[in-house]
Amino acid sequence: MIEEAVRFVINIPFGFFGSEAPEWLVFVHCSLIYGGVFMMAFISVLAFGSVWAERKISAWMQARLGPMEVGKYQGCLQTIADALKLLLKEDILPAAADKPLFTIAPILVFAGSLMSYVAIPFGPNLKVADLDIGVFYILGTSAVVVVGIIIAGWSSYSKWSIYGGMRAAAQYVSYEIPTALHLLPVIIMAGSLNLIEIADEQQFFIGPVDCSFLTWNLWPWINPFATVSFIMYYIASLAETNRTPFDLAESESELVAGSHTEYSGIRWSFFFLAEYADMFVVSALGTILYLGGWHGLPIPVIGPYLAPFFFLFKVLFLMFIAIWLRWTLPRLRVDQLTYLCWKVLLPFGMVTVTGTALWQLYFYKTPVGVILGTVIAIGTIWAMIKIYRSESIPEKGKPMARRDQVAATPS
Amino acid sequence: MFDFIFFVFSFVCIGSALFVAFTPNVVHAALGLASTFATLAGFYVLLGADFLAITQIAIYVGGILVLMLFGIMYTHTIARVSGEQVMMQVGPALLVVILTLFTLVATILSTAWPVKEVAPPAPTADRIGVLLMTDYLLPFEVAAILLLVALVGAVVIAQTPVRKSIEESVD
Amino acid sequence: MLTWIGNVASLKYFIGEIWLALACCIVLMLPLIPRFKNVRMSWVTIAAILFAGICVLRLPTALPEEGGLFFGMLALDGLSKFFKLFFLISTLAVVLMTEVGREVPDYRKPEFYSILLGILLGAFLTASATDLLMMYLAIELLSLGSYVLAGFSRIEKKSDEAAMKYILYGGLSTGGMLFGMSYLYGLTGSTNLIAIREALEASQIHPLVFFVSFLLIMVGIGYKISAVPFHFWAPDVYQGAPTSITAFLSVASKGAGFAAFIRIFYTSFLSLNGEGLWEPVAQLDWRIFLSILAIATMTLGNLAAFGQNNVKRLLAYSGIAHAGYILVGAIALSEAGVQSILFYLITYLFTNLAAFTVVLILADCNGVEEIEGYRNLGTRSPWLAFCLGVALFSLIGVPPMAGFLGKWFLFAAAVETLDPWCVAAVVAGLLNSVLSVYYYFRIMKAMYLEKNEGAGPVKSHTVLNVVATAMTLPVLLIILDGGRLYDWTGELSKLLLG
Repeated sequence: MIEEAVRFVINIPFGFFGSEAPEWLVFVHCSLIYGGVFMMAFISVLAFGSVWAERKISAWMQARLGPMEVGKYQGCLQTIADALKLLLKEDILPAAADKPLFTIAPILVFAGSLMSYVAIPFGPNLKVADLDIGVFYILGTSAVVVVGIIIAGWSSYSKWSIYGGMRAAAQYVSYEIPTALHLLPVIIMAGSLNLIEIADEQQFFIGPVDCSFLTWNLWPWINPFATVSFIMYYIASLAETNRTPFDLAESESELVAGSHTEYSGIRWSFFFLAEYADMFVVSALGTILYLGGWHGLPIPVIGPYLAPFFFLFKVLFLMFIAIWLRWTLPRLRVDQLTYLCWKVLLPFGMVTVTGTALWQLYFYKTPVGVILGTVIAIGTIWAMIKIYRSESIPEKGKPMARRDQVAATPS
Repeated sequence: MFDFIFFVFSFVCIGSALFVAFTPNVVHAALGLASTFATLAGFYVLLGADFLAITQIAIYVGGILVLMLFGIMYTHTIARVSGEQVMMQVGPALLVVILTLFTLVATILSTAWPVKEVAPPAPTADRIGVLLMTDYLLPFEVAAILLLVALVGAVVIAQTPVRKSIEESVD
Repeated sequence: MLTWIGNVASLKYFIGEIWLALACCIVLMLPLIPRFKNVRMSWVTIAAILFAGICVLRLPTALPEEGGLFFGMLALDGLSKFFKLFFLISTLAVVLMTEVGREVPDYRKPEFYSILLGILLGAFLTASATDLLMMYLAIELLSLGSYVLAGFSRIEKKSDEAAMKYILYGGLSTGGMLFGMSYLYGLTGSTNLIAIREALEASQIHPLVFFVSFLLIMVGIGYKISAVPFHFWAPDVYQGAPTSITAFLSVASKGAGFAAFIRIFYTSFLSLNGEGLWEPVAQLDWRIFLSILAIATMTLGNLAAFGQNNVKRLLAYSGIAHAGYILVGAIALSEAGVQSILFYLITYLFTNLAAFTVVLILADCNGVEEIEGYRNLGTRSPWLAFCLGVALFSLIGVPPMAGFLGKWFLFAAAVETLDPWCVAAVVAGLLNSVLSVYYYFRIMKAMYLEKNEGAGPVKSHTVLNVVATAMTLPVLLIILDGGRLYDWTGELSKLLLG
């Protein structure tokens, strides 16, 4: 539809000369409208909403008075004022900065996030491109973001920026591995990298009622390994998006703001938008792969029409958890960060991938598998409660041994 | 339209490759290299190899290039890496370059390359997967050993020679 | 038409390699278990090598039906069996040399052996690969490990320099080789060596593109065998690397280069005409090019060795010259040529390892690498001097030693073809053998004729003495039954040709 409209509009000036617009011109304009208008608008609104939500949630959780008072209508206006301020703020270009790179960096970062949106389906028919390698595409394009962050850090000619950029890049690169590894179980289960196929694979109907919420990949009776993977994927994706507790790259108390310390105004807002855009992407990926995408709304007739909203609801729920965690957990140290990546997430990833392959062979969606998975899940939860109870009461006069302290000794 | 995209990609690819060769600033050169890698991925897309294209981006831009930038930033002239471009033996080098270029171009033009019919773009990921598990299983596994050796080798090279004393102190 | 054997059915011919890959991991992981922390990993390594040796010895020299393993990735033939044994012997010697030597500290030995076993696996695969992709991966596995081992003693600056030079040259030349392979793939539409030959025979390909492809592949292989325009890394790397690794590079790595050479060139670029002679594919008579390469290699190698004072460096140039001699056998393009290359490699293996063991004893236990340090070795340590002397005589090609027989067969195979280029190469080879007497005799002169008052007796280690002896005896004794050994190499010189 958009394509036809674009063709019509572009053909108007060409019509004066009796010729037709070349195909590539239509293509370029269509891409611009898809990417530049729709996606940009979506991301702006998303960021707007997220900032507001983040403020409100932090206020509730930590009894911050500001966001409860400032801005009318539950603080909505404050966010709008912030956005306007960002647009009007002076665009500062540090004198010592590497000017071309300083200009390119925010574009790269934002373009990298925007590229992922091409592959994300918002509903069964609401998608830009039905990519056969959707998951892999999203993982691959995040590479561009890393380059942008490093370039931003380097070109600012500031110590904080460079440290922030390097930390961000290191974190990004190393956490990319567990992220991808913990997506693999689902790819094994669906036998496809196509996001729509993966989502459709989790469909389950009882009569006309969409009972897919019973067969989401995340549930242990489908595959207990995938449950573990979902949790691990979520943790790794928090690190991928530089969210607290993994926000070493822009930790305010050490590095001011990390790689974008020197940026201001509209350029800074690109980094800002990219952060929330990224958050949405990883949450959407988790939703499609583990939470059944848009499936699972058990309303018979109008269910399919509400599917995109249900999808958005799930994604926003995952984003809400990220915000929740941000205001709950303190920041990790560097050694804890690497410990988590290489000694927890990665080995678990190996186990879950191998385990899923075996589970797929023998138990996947069989009655035995359902029972076994449920039993394993209940057993694990019970054991965890036991362990938690026994460990949370330290013996008198004896501090609990902390493994990370051993790891922290300089070597 | 494909022709148009192809020429845009070629122009950017060659242009950024030349930029890499001639810019005195190492970080600029690295960014130029990123652009070359990305446009190469574009060529893969034009050839219908979608999986390969994303692999190209993920490995070259996301892996190798980031590593190179890291390497640059670990050098002591961290902030201003722009050194002078020293050109030595311009004459002989130019001769070699021109000869090589001439030979390669002549080779490409003089050869009747066996050309296949243009296949309609089809998903490649599953075919690659199947091939990796059947015909190319052995190279796939050997690549794993290769990476293991590379990993151990990297650790060995990065290790400081005095590690033993620390090991003993931990015990 | 060949029948390719599938992955699972191929496994029973692949046990040796699987064991090597496993041992590569075991050696790395075992010291992490507290109980096995103090087990000497050399035992595990030696066990792995011996076990792989048994597996290789039990391999047939051909499959019941003619074909390749793993869907045409690997060949099971005499050539691969020969080279596997060749690599095993050289690696075993290197392990022994490393274990008692002091160049590699104890706590780093697990990594060392792990990488060495990886290299050995790469060499195994290089010897048997019949697919360009597999060949490239195998060569890369071999090279990558070698880069690390060349820079293994991190305390010495020289070692770092060696590794750096090795990896820079190596990266460039394997890159070139890969580019050449991509041309070959573009021309023929296949990566299988046999299919490539069939495609080359069937089609009319412009000689230029074939030449470019040939040349680029030769860059990669020439680098491995250190043939002349690609030899610049050899002296520095040989000098800088730990001596046991130098021995390994000069024998096993070079052998792998020749294995790849024979495999690619004799399978793809030649066709057998039925009388035990090969003919170059119609597009290009590359024999001329190779004979020029051979002559240049031996001459430059020998000339450059004249001024060297460092024995490792001198042996590097000697190794370059020997690569030239072996290439003479390669341009004979006959079955006798391949056979003589294999025979020469046997003699070269023992000779060079004997020489390097003595060099190791002097360098490692006594800190001497220059020729001056070898003065009066004849009285200070008569047996070591004798071993080195025998090795040097063999390298020259003096009659009772093994090297003589090797050269004899090589040159005979080349002369038999009556091709003018081959004859020219043989004449150059003979002249060069005479030339080389000069620098080998400089060491001999230092050992037996020059006085060195201050130096005491040579410190050594029993294992190293045993290795030196074990490597020297074959050099002396091969002459007794050279004929049968030559026949044996004849049996093993059969390639899978399709």
